[in-house]
Amino acid sequence: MKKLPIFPPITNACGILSYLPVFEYLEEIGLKNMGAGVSKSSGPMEKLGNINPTVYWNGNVLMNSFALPSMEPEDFEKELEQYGGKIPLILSHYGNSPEDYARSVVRFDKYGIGHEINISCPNFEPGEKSVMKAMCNTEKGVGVIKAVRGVTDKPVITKLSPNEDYVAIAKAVAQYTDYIGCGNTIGPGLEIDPYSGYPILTGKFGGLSGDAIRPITMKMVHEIYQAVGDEVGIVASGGISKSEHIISYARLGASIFQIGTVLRGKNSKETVEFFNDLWDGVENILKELKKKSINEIIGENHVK
Amino acid sequence: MSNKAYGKRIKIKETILHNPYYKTFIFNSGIGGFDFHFPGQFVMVHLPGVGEKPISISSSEIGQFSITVEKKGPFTEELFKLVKEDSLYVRGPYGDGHFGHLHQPGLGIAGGCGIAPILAVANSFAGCHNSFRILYGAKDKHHLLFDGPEETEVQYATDDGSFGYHGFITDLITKELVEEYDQFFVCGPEKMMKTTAEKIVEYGVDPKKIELSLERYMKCGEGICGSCEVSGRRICVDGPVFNYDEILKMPDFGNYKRDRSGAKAKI
Repeated sequence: MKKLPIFPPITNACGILSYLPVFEYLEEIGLKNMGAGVSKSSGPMEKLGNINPTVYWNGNVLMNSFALPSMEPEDFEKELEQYGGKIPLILSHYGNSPEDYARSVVRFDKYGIGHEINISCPNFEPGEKSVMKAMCNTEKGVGVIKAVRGVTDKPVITKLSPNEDYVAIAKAVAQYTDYIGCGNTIGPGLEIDPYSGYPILTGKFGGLSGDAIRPITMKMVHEIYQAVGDEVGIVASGGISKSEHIISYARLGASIFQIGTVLRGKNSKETVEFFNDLWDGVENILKELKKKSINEIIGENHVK
Repeated sequence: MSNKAYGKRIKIKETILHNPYYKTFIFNSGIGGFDFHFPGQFVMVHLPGVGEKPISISSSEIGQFSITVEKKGPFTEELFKLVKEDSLYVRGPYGDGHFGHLHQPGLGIAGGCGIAPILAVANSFAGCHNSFRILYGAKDKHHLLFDGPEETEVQYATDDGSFGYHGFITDLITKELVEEYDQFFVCGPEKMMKTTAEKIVEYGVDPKKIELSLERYMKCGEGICGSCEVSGRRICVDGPVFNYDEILKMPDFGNYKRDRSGAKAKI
């Protein structure tokens, strides 16, 4: 297993903030504690994504159905060439076939410190055949990750969905991947407008995220660690909104932590403060626990 | 920022059809958590089964707020069909960057539907003793709104000369006029705003005193998706109003915008 050289081990969740100029600007105004930035998933061709509403906050959980809007690979490459930030990039990819993923990984390999292979987005545009549904099973998943492994020496995160048989897929891909990403949004779910009967999201269904789903992702991390924890690292993304959540995820086996829904409504200054305070908080808790580094508690729960 | 804001179904209290292209919708505030909002802020308006768009607040009176909309696509066509007592969903108000500094004489400069947030500024000025004037340009007299606050002086310009000055609104910005005012509030097409700000600075005004309201293809409205970023600033949370000294550090301004897929295109 190759480790991603990032410190602090905190990134944005893919799709959140993900445009490269946003990373540059946040860095410019003082962002210190985001060890790497995950780019928006890039695919084989331009994809428009859903029209609004693409998000819905029901008071307890966030639903989204952006459905992977992405620019032409040529345009993305131009943006990567222009990227002037010091925050290293983890490049996220989606595709319709193992070849799509491999082509994207090869093309952008030199711009990042590693890759996140998204085989778990639950959202799609109306009428679109869900690409991910087809990818996120054991056979197809292995095909994708094997193809990617064949074309890059950089660390690879395989981002799995909490909605599929993730333990089986993790076991099958463990020999080809460096990390398992736990996980993507839950569901997807459905909310409709009681007065008109229309679904609230234009994409009809939307993946759920935020504090409310953290227990499900925690369980996923727990199970993945028990299944393949000695072979791969674990990336936790699901409802992290406090330093405490990072400690809990680390105890269960995660070593990289991704931040998403908690950033709702935060302007750039508040976003920077949030990231910076988040890791400071982790270090304070580690001090209280008399641990020198977060590495001392990763997976600790499983020996208890 | 109201990061717990979520869609509230609210009833239309009143509508004003200004002309075939512009309509104002008035709502009671206090229903959806809109007690505190500022000129330049916006709301996400959702019509189930149709779509959702960011729309500027066009008045900030106590007890009510309004939006003023230009009919220019399928969404606004549906919105125009709504009348008093009909309901729609609104979330917000959004935008930490809003118009401010009403403590000095102000000049508002609006192009097209950019008049909406400038009316909100005019409304706020109506409650204080400082003078406020609007320079307002549109393509022809049928696209002009004549229903601003009574005490506000408005100078009009139309592209075809059918009302007011024949030509661009930016032609009306003179050194003499600029020297009468201490704060400048600008909203309109980006090229028009660029010309406006450059001209005002040329007349010796500190860029800090000029405020511009930007517009981009916006998805979440809450800072998470990043699709409305302009040189790294997410305009839904950092804007939509920026001081011109900040905009001078944003090379995308007047040059590039992202489309629905996220690709950058020339403006």
